[in-house]
Amino acid sequence: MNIWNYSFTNNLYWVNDRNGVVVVDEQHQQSYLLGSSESILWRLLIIHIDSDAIIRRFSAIISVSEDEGKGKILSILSKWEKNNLVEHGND
Amino acid sequence: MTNLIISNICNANCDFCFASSFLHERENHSKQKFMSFDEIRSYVHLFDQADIHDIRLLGGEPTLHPAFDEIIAFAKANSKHITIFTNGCLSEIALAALENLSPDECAIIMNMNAKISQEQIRTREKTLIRLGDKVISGYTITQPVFSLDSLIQTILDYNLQRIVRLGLSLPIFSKKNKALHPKQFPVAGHCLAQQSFTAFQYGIQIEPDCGFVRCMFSEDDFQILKKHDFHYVSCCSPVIDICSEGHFLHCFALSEKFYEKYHESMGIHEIRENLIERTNPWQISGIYPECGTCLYKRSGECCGGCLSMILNRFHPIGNSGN
Repeated sequence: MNIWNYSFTNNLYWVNDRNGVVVVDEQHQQSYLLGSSESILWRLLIIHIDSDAIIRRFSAIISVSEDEGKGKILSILSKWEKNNLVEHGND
Repeated sequence: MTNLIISNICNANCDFCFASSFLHERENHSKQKFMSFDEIRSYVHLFDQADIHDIRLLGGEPTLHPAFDEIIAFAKANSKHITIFTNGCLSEIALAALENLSPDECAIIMNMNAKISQEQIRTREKTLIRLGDKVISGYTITQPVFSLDSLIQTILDYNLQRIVRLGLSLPIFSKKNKALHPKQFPVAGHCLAQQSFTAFQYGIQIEPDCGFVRCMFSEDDFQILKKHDFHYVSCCSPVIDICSEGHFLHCFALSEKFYEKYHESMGIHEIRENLIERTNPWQISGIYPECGTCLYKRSGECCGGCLSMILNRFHPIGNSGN
């Protein structure tokens, strides 16, 4: 992942299920079924494309402007940070 | 229930075995082929504290243990019921140790599709003749299309208990063994429904082991099986395996990931609960991508299948999987 200094935390496992991406956080003994836009973002982050491309593709897939898409991505990352799925590094 | 892994070695060579890689590693690591008699004694006392009255001996091949006869005598002296999981190629000493036990005192679960030599097949025949009334046949489905005909014939010929303990060849997490692919399950399910006619005709009950999923049976096949006394259960309720040096495993298939080292402050049941709790987050998924939306899983009629298969579907991120 390479977006705004966020990185995945350790001990995460994920799988594509029919109803969305399932993530298991082994360290905290938690699992999450990601919502549809979360699943889209997760898949984009996994393929390691750069942040501009992620914003562009994510916004296109969920049919919003790039500004709206960026806001949506930040809100998802913030939610994931609270759930220990990602961490924010200091610049 | 708890299994004691008293032997790290086996005299069969089954490609579907989910214990072999783990036991090979243990044997190489500790240079120990068998659990010591002292260790077995201490676990039996632990069983007493946990109110466990059945001693289940596994391996490898448990009857290869050099003190097998003494273990049986010790279990009997402590009024324990004995269950042995074996390929049936028993030595004279092992045969003699089990021969005088009644079917109420001992059950021998025999892997009937173990990969054994012609000579071993003759040895197994001797076991079937002398211990037949205590033998429950075990059969592992390794191919989607299979036949239980010769097994049923063996049960009738040797007057074995009229039960078949049916397992699926399941994968070991992060290792290689011969296992059915989930895509093959529906064919195996249909084949099982067809086989159940003959089994039922001879009063033989087929009891499923773990790993079966509800959607592997069509509605028609499910009704046929129900009519033939096949009691489908889909749950992951592990029987803890205790290995030498105090290693407690969730099950062999997950031995790489879910194990605990024995500590005196914890009882057997507590260790089991801990291991189950660690697997809980994974139960959100299933062996198929569709499991998350499946009504059988949602209603609890199906658990989503073998956890080892589920774990094999997941991708690690970063430093995961260390």
